[in-house]
Amino acid sequence: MGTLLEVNHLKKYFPIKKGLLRRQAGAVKAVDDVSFSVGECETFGVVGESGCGKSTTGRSILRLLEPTSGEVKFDGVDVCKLSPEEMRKFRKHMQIVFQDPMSSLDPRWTVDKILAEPLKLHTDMTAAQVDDRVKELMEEVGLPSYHAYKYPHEFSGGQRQRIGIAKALSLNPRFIVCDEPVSALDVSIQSQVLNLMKDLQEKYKLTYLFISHDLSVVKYISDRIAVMYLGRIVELAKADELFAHMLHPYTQALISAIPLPDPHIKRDRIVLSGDVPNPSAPPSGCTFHERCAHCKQICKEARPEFKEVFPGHYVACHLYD
Amino acid sequence: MDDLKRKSNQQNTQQAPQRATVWQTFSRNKLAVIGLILILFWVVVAIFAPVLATHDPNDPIVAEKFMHPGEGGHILGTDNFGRDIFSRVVYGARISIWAGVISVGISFCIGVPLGGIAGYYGGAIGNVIMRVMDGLSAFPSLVLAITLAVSMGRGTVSAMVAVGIVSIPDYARLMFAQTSSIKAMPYIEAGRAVGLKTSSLILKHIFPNCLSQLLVRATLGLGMAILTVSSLSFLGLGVQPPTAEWGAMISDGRRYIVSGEWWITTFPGLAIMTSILGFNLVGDGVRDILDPRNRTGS
Repeated sequence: MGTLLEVNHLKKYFPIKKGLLRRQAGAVKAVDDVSFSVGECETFGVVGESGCGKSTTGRSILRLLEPTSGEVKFDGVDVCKLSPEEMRKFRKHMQIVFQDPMSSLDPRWTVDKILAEPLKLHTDMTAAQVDDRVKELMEEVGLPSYHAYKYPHEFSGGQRQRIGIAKALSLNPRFIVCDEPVSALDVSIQSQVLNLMKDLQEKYKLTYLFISHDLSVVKYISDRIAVMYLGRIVELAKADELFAHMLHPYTQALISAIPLPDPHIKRDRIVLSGDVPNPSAPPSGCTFHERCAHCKQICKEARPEFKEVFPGHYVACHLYD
Repeated sequence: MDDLKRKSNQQNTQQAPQRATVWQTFSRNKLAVIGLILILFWVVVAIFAPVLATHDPNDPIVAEKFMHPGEGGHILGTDNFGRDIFSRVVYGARISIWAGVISVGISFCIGVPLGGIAGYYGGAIGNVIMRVMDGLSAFPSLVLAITLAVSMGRGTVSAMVAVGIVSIPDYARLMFAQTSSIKAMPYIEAGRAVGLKTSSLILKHIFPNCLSQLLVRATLGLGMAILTVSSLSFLGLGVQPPTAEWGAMISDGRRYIVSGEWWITTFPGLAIMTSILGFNLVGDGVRDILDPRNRTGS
């Protein structure tokens, strides 16, 4: 399995401007030195609570947000170094599925226009070919093609997300960032859409960066999972490995919070104290130390290194020094 | 299985429910229909003015002044110079409708791009544009219109241009607010994600989504513009005598209300009222049509 995407030391800081002259008073470190790589046809899950920078990571990779620094290599091309025009053309290789399918589709456009837009932009298809491709795409995601002339608001949430997926697929991309694609959907619809995405991945050899706050969803679809906390990856491992041997105290707390279907099962729930710290003034050392039950002196002083503890299992925690 | 197949075949061949036409949505609003009838009435009157007018609107017949409505073949009577009021109201429709269209056109064509640029790019450019707009709208609109009309010289064109300039900030601000909120919508980000250029993003996705608000504003603005041009003419700054214009007619006749010649002011007043009412009612109807949630596809 070759590497398709390589992210090195990606940082995205949002400046905080204050005062009459709009001087920069600080920065929200939404993504703070994140590195990982995604193999071809792999699903790479990213989990974390809201505000931890997982969506910002996805958007920075696609340069929907300009990264502050770092390197994003896609199939050997450094995406961050492309000129705006080159980037515009390069977008056909990397697409995104959004969280809210209602607001990510233009309410004034019918489905056939929505799906035809990327085709007209990046290909030389004739009007008839575009039409055929639109119909094909709709069938592909399980929507009867006679829905083509409807507006987004006439569909159910699940159907709308299928349109979003069809749009992302339309240019035969190799890589799709799925930004919480099922969190706006009913639980019963979630599994349908997830299975559709799995099927499409197999059929078209797609690579996914799957962002979610729902651990069970990520566990179901991902090959490898990265856990993010306050703009940093704290743990990264194969999905089964992560759930079997979680190492980082934060991952342990997260996994213990997954609701169990059987209410009679007793378990040790790790409840974290305090809130997520302010990302514009993160705590010193390990950003998790204020809420960690195993906090040592070194945790307050030095940022833990992100290193391989077991083969393929990375963690950033002083407990494993 | 066969049953299922037949069913899905049926679904495929079945005509989907017809799209509610623009007219169907519009006609549900009875007041808007009344408004449209009023507008159409005045447009027809303006177009066929030479046919409808019974007399030369600007020809004073001294012997026939202050005739009551209906007297001596003058349907709505005559004014203090003996000019036929009916013919003058009919010809006045031409001026008023032109005044509305041109001044709204000016403010729309200048205000919308300014507001769009300010809203999309924001930052320093946006600030400069919007502060200038704030400056413009700090003046009471009629006072500013009077100042501009005087400085450009009296006349119909300068009145229209003055009224147009005065309402630029309205459109700019509306477009600014719409653009700033729409540019934050995920479907704009989705457009960038497929690689749309900024220009097509603005023209294909942002502008059409602002259009409904703008059209409503423009329709309401037409009424306001007619009124303001009439006001300027009333003050002697717009249309110059002897040209027939509703505001100027009221101005001419105002001295005679007390002495009992009510018809000189009443009929142009009614004309102004009905035309503005028409545009305002249609404005509300347009709002309903352009809401895509009232539309269904086929």
